Amino acid sequence: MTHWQQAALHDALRRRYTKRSVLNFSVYLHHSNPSIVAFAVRMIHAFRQVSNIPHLKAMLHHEDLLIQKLAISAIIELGDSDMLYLLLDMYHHLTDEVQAFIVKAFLQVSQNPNIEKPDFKELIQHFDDLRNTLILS
Amino acid sequence: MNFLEIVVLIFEFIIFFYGLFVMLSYVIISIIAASRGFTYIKERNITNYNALLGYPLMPSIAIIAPAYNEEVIIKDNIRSLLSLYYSNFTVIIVNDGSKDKTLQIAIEEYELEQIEFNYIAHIKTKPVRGVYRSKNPAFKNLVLVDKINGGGKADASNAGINIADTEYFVCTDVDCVIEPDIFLKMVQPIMSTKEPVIGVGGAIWLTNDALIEGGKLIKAHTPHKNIARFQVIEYFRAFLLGRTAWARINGSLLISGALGLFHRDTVVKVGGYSTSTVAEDMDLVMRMHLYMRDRGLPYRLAYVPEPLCWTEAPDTEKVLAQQRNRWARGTVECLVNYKKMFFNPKYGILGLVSYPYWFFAEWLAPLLEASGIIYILVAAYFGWVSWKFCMLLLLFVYSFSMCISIFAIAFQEVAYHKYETPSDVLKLFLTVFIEPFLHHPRTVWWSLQGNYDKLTGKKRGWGTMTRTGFNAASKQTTG
Repeated sequence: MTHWQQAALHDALRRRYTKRSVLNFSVYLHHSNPSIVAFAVRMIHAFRQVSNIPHLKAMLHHEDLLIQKLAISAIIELGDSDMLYLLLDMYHHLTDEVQAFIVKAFLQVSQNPNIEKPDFKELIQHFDDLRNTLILS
Repeated sequence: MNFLEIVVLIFEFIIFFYGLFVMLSYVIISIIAASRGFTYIKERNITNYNALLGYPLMPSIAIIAPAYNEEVIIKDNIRSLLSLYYSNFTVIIVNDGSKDKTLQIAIEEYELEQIEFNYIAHIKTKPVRGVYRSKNPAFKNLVLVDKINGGGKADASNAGINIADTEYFVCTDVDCVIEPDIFLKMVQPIMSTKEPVIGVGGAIWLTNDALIEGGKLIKAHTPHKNIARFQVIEYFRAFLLGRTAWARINGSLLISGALGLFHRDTVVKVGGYSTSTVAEDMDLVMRMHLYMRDRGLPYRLAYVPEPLCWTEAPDTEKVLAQQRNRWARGTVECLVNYKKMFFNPKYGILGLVSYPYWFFAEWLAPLLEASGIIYILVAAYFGWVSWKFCMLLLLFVYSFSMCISIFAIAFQEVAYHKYETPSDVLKLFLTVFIEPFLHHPRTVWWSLQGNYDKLTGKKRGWGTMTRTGFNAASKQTTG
């Protein structure tokens, strides 16, 4: 499935289900087809299924880079501070590209006036330090 | 045969085969473009773009619009940009050191205030004096960058790219009129292609004599002046046929500076727009190709064959001459700077088809046309010309060029029907008959001048274009 088809499917699901009654997408996270996994991560994010965010931890080591990035975006936007500290713990075990993506995604979300995340204030310094490390390297 | 006869024979063969090559190229381009164009129309007619407005994970886009002395239109055009249909976009206006009240009007109208901003110059630019955001939540996705003038549109665009924290950015001119669903249409290739799409172009139409209110196009009209009408036909041929076909085979060498969507990180990696060329749009695209091909990375440059952006064409001979001179110099600069692509199989279709086509059919065409005219005059003087054959050949070439133009206009009518009044369309069809005589020779001459200026190192800037403005108010802008 292309992202375009996934977006169209999201629209169909949005019309058919309410946010509470929509199906649990975490069951598709271990599907053999990467585009189904990408779709599941996107739908967890799009339907804001916060209870499924811990399941995304396993996706950080998925062989598909796109799925890793989608999981990171969802965790940063929907996850609580425990999940973000977990992300920081794993940070140095991830590739340079994923590290850079994490820092950029976090700083984008933290600067977004539409997203209120009081916990982020403590974390911003950590991510700022990581960004400076990235710029220097 | 003596030496002169051999030279003449070789020259005639070159001209003959060159003519065949150009005509065959146009036929192939028209077939590919028509096939892609009609497929696009079919797909577009069954796509519900508005359904995507509720999808929260659309790729983030910044629309970057450099503004220099735009006090007359800045208010309307920012409003027009803010009202685009998309869920995840930022408008970045770059005030390029305007000497008029552009900055003050924007600040007052949109309740902007200077914010603390750590400006990281990923791409080197002239200094940024300040970054502004609105106090009013209604304009929360508006950012204004105030920078010191210098480096032209390229430098201003680079400042906007540095500020943008989005996946993609669209570069346009603040005086362009943008279709409200532009982003939905331009992200479609990105979201529906498996290969990473690093750039998307779109068709540009002309606003001369069109009715525009509040920065929005109300009704398109065929321009009254011949000089602008000739350009309408040129734009149809270029954007409906040429660009569509080249994008179809992933061989585009140019995404127009007035409307291009690019992957931000890739553009930053290649160093952004160059300030040392007059063809910064073509230069950027060629550098992006080189970057991706040299590293063996998969990518596509896509194109939406639908008019998504409207701009005003030069309507005086002086300004048009400056523009065409600049285009000719820009073509030479790009072809010289990226000459390693020429027939280089490493660059695939770019090296083997796109670059050679630009070299032979775009750069060489005016030079060969001019030499052909000189040859005819010399041959006529010496009595070598068979006038009957010459006239037949001329009629054939004339008819062929008319067929291509008529096809482009007809395609526009069938596919997009942007000109609602039949008399507008009729005027365009009639213009086709005079364009080869009244307009084309002048473009050849301006192109020759551009090549001469480049060769002799004569310094020319972008030239100043006086626009009539969308609301009949005059303004000055670089163009």
